[in-house]
Amino acid sequence: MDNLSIQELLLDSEFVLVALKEEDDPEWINYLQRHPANMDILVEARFILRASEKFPIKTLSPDRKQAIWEAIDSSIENERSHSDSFRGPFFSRIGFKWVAALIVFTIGLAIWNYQSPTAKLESNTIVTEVNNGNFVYSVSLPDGSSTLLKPGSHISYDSLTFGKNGSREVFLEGEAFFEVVTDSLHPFYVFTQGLTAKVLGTSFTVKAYATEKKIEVAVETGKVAVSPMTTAQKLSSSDFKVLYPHEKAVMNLENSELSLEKIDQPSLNETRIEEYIIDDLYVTEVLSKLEKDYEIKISYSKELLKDCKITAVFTEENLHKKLSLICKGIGASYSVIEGVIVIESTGCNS
Amino acid sequence: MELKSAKSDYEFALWARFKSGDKQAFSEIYTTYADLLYNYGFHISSRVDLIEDAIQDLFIVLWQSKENLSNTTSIKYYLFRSFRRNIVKLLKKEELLVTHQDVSLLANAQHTLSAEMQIIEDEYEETQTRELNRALSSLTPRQLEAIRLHYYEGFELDRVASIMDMNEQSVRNILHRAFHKLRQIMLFLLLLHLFLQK
Repeated sequence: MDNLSIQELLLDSEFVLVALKEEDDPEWINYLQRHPANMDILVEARFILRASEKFPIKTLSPDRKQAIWEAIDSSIENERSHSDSFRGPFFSRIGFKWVAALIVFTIGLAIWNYQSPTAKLESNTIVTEVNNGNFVYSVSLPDGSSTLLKPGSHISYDSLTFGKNGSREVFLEGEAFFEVVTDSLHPFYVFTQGLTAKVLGTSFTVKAYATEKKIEVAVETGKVAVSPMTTAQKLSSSDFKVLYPHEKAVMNLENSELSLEKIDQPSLNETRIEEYIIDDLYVTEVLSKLEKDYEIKISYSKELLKDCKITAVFTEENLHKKLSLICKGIGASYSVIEGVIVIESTGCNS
Repeated sequence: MELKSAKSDYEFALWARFKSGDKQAFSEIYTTYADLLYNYGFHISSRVDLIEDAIQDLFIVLWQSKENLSNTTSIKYYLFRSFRRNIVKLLKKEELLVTHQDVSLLANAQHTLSAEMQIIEDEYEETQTRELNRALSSLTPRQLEAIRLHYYEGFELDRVASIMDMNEQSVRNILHRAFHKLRQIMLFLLLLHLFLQK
């Protein structure tokens, strides 16, 4: 019982603050006097706390961390060759063998992609998209759904089983806006570290940064069900809370509480995407609106497109659908290069 | 309670994915635990190269034997235990392991006082901080390691014992010895101070 109390004390920020003071500090003395019954536990806890000052202060640098990982990875890629040379002490392997390890690593990757039928059952068809840039990064999923990954985010899914085993599953860390194609036979799950969102077909935002203490899911259209469960096991419908448009769920990771809030007024930088009724408007205006609404960057020649006009109505189409319809309308084409949308056209001079 | 289960659900899923060959999950396990293991390694040895090798070997073997691993909700416990064994193995190989008094960075633990401590006003204060520091400095590497594993990493005593490769009673003894002496000193000084205050 002693030990449990000491651990609780070590997690108590008030205790830690006073315990780090000197023995004759009035605040520390005062604290002791306020808890006379627990004095010896307090003293012990303080000692444990101070003992941590004697812990090693060595930290692993990001470079070394990466280097060790590369050695692990190259060794794994090489495991079929039964080579002993990679199992010896790491430090003795640096030098020319370091180069060899890098080369094997790259070759290993190429072999990895072959998927020969007699290969060991290492299902690595996981696709991971990472956004390390400064703009929103567009990712299309195998079912036609699309995601806009915010900077510093990444998303993973298994390209082999996505949509095939009765569900569509992605793992998200960071923030993304999803536009999910309706498919009631294959519910769409977004797994994050503290919460799972399940959708049938809708558009919504999930915010789940590793460094933050809460996770948010905000619904744009359709409906989303959220649950604090995070496993990829079968989730029963009773575990979920349903969210409707303009509602937001906030999961507090510290106490594991899930709360629902209404989003009354969309904030300026979270423009909602309503129905698009485009009646003979300039394409450049429409593209500007898309850029603003989706917070993305579209690259195109203002000069070439300045005379282009378009009439269209968009209700449930996601970003990519909207873009391809616009392009069809003006005889242009678009592609996504490193997350930026590029429109190519020869102009609209009839 | 709920928070712990949400986290352990995630870990359970992560471990399951890794076991089925998901390299991404494996990489995530590495990213999550490498720094912690590295730092912990210095409780056992001060040899940077051995510690790095131990981490490397740990993960390579982990990947190679993934199909034979049980489902677990404590990846951390598994990693700590295997990692420590790796270091000990490497130390033994180089005949560096001295069984009663392991060579470690902590043998040269810094005795520098914090800035506040250096402002010494009167002899009474000097006595106090000297005593505290002396008690802290007299902590053996095993004592510091046990404190770290139990109070800071949150392992239960039976798991601490398993990680340190000793029985649970030995771990209890280590912890008791660690703060037994200091407790006396500190209580004495505290009472003395309270007495003098009056």
